[in-house]
Amino acid sequence: MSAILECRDLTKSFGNKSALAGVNLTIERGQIVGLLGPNGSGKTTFIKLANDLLSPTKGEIRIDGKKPGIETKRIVSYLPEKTYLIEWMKVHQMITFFTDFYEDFKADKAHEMMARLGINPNDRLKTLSKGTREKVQLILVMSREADLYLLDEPIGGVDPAAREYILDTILHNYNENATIVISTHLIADIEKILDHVIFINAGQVVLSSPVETIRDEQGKSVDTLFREVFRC
Amino acid sequence: MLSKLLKYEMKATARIFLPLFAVVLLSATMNRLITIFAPKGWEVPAVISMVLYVTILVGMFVVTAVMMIQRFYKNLLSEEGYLMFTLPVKPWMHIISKLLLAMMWALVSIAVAIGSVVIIASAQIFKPEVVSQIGQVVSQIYAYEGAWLFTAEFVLLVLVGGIAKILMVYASIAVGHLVNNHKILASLGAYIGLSTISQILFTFMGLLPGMAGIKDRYTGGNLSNPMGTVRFSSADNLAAILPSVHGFLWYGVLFSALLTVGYFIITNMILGKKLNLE
Repeated sequence: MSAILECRDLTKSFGNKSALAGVNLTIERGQIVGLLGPNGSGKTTFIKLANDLLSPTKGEIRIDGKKPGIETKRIVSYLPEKTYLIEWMKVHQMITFFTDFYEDFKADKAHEMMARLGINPNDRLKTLSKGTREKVQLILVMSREADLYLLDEPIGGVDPAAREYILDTILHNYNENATIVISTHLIADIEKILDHVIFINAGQVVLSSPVETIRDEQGKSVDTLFREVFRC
Repeated sequence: MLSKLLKYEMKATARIFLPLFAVVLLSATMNRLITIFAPKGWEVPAVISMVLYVTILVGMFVVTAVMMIQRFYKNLLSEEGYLMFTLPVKPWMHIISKLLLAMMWALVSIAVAIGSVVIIASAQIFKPEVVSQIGQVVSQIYAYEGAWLFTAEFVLLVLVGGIAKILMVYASIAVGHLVNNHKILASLGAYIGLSTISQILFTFMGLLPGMAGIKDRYTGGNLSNPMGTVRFSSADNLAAILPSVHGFLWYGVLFSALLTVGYFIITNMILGKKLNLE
């Protein structure tokens, strides 16, 4: 079985500004990966390329051995940093929408999680607060049984209490062959759930290493190492 | 998957259009009732309700146009685009689903407008002598050989022409989306640019060898005075120009079909390869 995500010389430029410059990377199946880097380092560009929302300027990215397209969209569950929910719909209509388009979506699971967070399925999305919308979005994304989850800043906009619950949700809602990539700069909060970290800066991968190696060989936490690598 | 996209496009638009159509028809009915029940000389309410009706009717067409733009822009190229473009669906399906629904609502809007006029003028229209006269005119027209062909050509031209116009708007928005700043201004510029190019193509295509025959019969070979050879002074002349009218209608259909293909390719390429959501 091929690696879940692979890129070779992956480059994306906007005009003459390069957002990713020749990234080579392999992400194996069955782990939780932290994609860590300061603002503007290329995290979102990388995730958008994996979702076929951008096309590479040079090089290639493959998911499950295939170029991003319909086939990969079926197995990738993506949480963008934006709230992309359709505002005029009610929460339960949004659940039906996901059921209609994704074969791997589990509506029961989504309803159950909504109930646990006290989100009323009959509420219109337009009337919900930004934080609640982000929770709805995360629940929808995690209610799929995908092979690869790409979560762009999943905990940025919610309060610390909900953050706990969300990380818990992430941890308990994927099977062991699935891979989760979490992009964030809030490292301390997610460090304990990560198996592998990728440091990215100015469009280049600075480090790709299992968390165990960092702890054992360097005797540091990921947070400490991050602060050292990205010292301003 | 296309049927699912159509279903959701229908849901998203019907919730706006259905109440709107109801308001138009209700306003027309109000007008009708006022003319029935208002006492003689009591004209102010009738005038007010007429002005209101016309305003609502114009509003309906404005909303139809705005919805066409807004559904494409907001659902595909604003934040909702993150959802739509990560569905396991090809970009062309998004374009087709938006296009079919926009076309459908435009046609229904026209039907509702005609229906509302019929309601207001029902007292005049549904008199036996008027009905029989209308019947006579229609049967006279369709007694004429080729009338059905004209009808078919005309309907085809309206449909293909309408589709080409909608796709031109989509292509303009897509081109405007390529620019990083001032996307709306860029879309407007793209629209003007595409219209100009289409006009030039329209003239040039008429100059092609195969086309010249069709077009010359209509224009008399004189582009600056296209109607110069047409005189409706006698039935003979009318019969003489009919073949050219057929020719011109087909020219229009063919030209619109070519534009449709061109605009579709532009839009599809940008959504597929040059997408750059904010």
